[in-house]
Amino acid sequence: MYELHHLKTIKSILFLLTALSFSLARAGTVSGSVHSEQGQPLIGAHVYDANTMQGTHTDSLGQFNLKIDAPSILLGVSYIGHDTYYQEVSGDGHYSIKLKLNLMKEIEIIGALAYQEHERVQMSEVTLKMDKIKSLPSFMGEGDLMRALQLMPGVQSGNEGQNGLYVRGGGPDQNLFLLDGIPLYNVSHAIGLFSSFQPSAISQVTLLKGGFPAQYGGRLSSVVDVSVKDDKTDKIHGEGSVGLVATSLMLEGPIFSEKTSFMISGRRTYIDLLTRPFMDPETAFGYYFYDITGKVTHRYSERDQISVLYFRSKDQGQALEFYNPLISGYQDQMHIGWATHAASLNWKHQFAARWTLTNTFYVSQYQFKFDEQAYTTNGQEVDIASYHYGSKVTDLGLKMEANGMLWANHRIRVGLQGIRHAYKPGSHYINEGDVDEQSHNAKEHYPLELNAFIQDEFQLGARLQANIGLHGVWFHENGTNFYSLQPRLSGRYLINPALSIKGSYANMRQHVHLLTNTTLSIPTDIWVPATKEAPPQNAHQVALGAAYSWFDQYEMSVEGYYKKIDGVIAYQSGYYFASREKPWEQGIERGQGDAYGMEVLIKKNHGTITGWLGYTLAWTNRQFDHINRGEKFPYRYDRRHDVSVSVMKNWSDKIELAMAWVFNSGQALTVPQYQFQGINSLDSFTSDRIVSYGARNSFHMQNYHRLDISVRFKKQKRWGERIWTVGLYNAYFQKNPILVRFEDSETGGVLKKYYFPVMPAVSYQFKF
Amino acid sequence: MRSTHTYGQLILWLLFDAICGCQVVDEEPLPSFEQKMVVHGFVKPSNAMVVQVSRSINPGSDSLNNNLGQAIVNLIHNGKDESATFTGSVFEAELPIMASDVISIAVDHEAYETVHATIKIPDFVPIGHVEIIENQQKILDNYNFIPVKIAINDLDPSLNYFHFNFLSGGQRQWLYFINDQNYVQSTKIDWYFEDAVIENGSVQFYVEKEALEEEITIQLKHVDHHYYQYFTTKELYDAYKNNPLAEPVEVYSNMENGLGVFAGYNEDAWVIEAP
Repeated sequence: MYELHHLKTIKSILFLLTALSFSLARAGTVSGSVHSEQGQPLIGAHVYDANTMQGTHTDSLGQFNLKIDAPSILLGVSYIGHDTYYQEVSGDGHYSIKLKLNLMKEIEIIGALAYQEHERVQMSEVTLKMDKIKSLPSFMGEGDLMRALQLMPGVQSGNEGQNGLYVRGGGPDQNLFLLDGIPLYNVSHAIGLFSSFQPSAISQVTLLKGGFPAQYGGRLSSVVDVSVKDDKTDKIHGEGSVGLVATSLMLEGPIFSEKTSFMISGRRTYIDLLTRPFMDPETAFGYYFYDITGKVTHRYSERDQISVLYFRSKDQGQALEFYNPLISGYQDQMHIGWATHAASLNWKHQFAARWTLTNTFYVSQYQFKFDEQAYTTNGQEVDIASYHYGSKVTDLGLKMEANGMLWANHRIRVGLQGIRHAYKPGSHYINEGDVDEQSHNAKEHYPLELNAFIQDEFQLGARLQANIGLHGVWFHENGTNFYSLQPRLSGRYLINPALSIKGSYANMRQHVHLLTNTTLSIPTDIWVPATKEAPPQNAHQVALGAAYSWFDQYEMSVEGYYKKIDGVIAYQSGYYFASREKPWEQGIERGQGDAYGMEVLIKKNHGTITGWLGYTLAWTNRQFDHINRGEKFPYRYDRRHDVSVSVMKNWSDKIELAMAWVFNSGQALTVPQYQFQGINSLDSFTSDRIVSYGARNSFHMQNYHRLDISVRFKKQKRWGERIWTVGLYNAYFQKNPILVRFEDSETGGVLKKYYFPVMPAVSYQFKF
Repeated sequence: MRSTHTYGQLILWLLFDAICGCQVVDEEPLPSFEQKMVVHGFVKPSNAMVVQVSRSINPGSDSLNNNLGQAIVNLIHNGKDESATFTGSVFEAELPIMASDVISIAVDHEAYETVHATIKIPDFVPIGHVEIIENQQKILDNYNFIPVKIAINDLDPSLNYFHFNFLSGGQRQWLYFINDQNYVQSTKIDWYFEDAVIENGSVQFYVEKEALEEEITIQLKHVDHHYYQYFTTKELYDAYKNNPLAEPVEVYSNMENGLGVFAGYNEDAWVIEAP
């Protein structure tokens, strides 16, 4: 009897599954691709049934699949800055659509996303086009995509002036920066004041804060996916900028034929050149940075495309004292530099009507160097003492990814990636007289990593859409193996044509740590791999939310999230990046953390006034067995409230105004609380005074708020367009500390605070 | 050549001054916190013990007289209440203290919360043998270092902590730890260690041969966890207190509701003639 009932149950399930598959397969499907007039795939174009307004969006290759219930429909395709396209289509057809550029429309809806938030299955995502980023107020005239992302809910900015990202309680090491799919370790210049990405070289950036699809892995808190521009053009175009601190130039165009195109972009600061004439001739101090981004794309058939990318970002500083050692007795030379290099070879191949294979071979490197040489006169002899400190990480990777449709409405993405890492964390070399010393941290690591993933984005009926995936990793370091299978799930249920609810779960594993112990993102931070003593970091995140759109120009999303992290590391008391007493594995503590909160984002995408309002309510904590007596304490970036308002107004065809105002609760800080006499030895009850800091991060600084404004004056010229931008950073001079230090003074202990004043910005830009 | 932490500061400030040349600097008084009572006491087997009571003050203040004279010290020795005599800010108690005794202290003062702690006096751990190995001397940087090997009769299988000093002519001498590649890995004048560093029943280090005088004294203290934690964190604190890049070091305290340390130890000494 029981067996019969069991058999019936199985039959019922099989019947339901078969019926479901049949119903899905019976629906007609319109598939195709959407391109610009120049043949470039348009990512995120809205493809929909113009009668029911049900639709989808094109993927990263400009492809789409739309399930239809009727034999034929009126297909609509819309994309920012282009005319909307309509065509009568029938089921199971494949269409190649070219959208016509409409400059007037671009002006009307500049910055608008090409899809509506409530329709997308992906949650916790922000996509920004570079046009929008360029129109936001900038710091010292340098447009910065990282600063634009800081204006989004769930993203903390770290210290004043810095462009670091602290996403949903995560640390600075927990963001995966991808440049055309290549992971980068350092993406900032000048202790985090400027980002390494030149706006003119970038087409768009996408930030994921949660609900990570299975294709991403390796970091716990966010993915920042940056796409390098590779527009197909029939003639040379250019774009340049001259600002207070830097000049940049970008050129793009065809090479020999329209099948091959190039883009090259460079930027350099010139503070060192401008200040050199005013320097003391016996001393010299200089600092500069530069970036180069270059890409060549060749389309050698309808189905094949190959591209080569090169990226370099470098900072260099020096301090020299030009005393003659034979006369003055001392000469000192210091050089400091850090650089990110990346290069890739990418081949895309369409091997079936609906499938694309993408292969990428890449190398990514980050290097930091500090050198000092001191010459001291001792009678007629000159003693030379030298000190070298350096760290380096290099990745060599190969990625293969297939992306296409299976059955009627399953978009499958499957991939494999192998990486050979080389970590050289913090090697010291000291040579002074007879002392010749090499430090512990010179130990090198060469781990191997293999990633595999599969994900399926599918639709069940008209209202439910989901993305289910699995990301697997094998990480091998010095005989120790770490395995993980990380499930990913996200779903969207359409309550009505304007309102949806969403949910997601993601397990992420991170096999790299960042050794850092300052509040500044400085280049001395050291990347180290997961080892037996410092196993990988692990996070589980769940998020629930709702998205609503109205009047075709407003969008609102609300999300709540909870994230549990374990395996996070922190320096032990007294340990820091240049410690030479013991290896880094023995200088760290392992602990855990959590983060939870709620985010609200309201956007206006169309009209002469566009912009958004973001609000975050958040908590984040850490716990280590030997820090703060083992008790849980607020993370450094535990800020309860965070508000950002960004408004852009097109005053006319020639004038654009923009403002951004941010407010957040004061940063958590550890400050001295007590001072007392300690005991030096048992012989006497005396010693120097001891300062005690009390509970970790128990003091919160004053609230942070700042207003940035800018005006852009645009004018069409015979050769193209010129834009003058003037702006103010921190327009009402709010004293927001960049750095806080405890110091003794005549009146007792004080907190010494360093601020930026109002920072004006002027830049001249041109396009042709 | 500068010490290593100076390089860290240099790197940071070179960058900082270069980029933020137009920065504004402001000073603000520290936020005020309720201050605490500070109690220090180190107890060994003897006929008396001494406890010092003081108070904490605001960081940065130069106030020197922080002793507390109106406190009441309560001692419980092996479960029995004992009295402590007040002499200035120092409290003395006469009681026969033996190894393995358990002593609790509670200090009351009208202006502060009661602070308290409990310790157990460690067992006696004798020095087994001292050997100065003359035929394995090393000459580094024109200095002559001579190895010293100390056998310790550590019979206790549990985790033990030690405090070691090497005295010559009545003065504590530097201990040098030199590896096989002839690098001086570290130097210490007070050596605090766990029994994990005892290999085959002994420990070894180098001393400077020039520093050896006629009479040499070896001091070994078997200390409790509180003693070890206090002095090792104090050592770290002294090393990094002026380094803005290092994480702040919190000096260990086992005084509930207060600051300071109440700890126990047992000691042995060995006197030899220099070779």
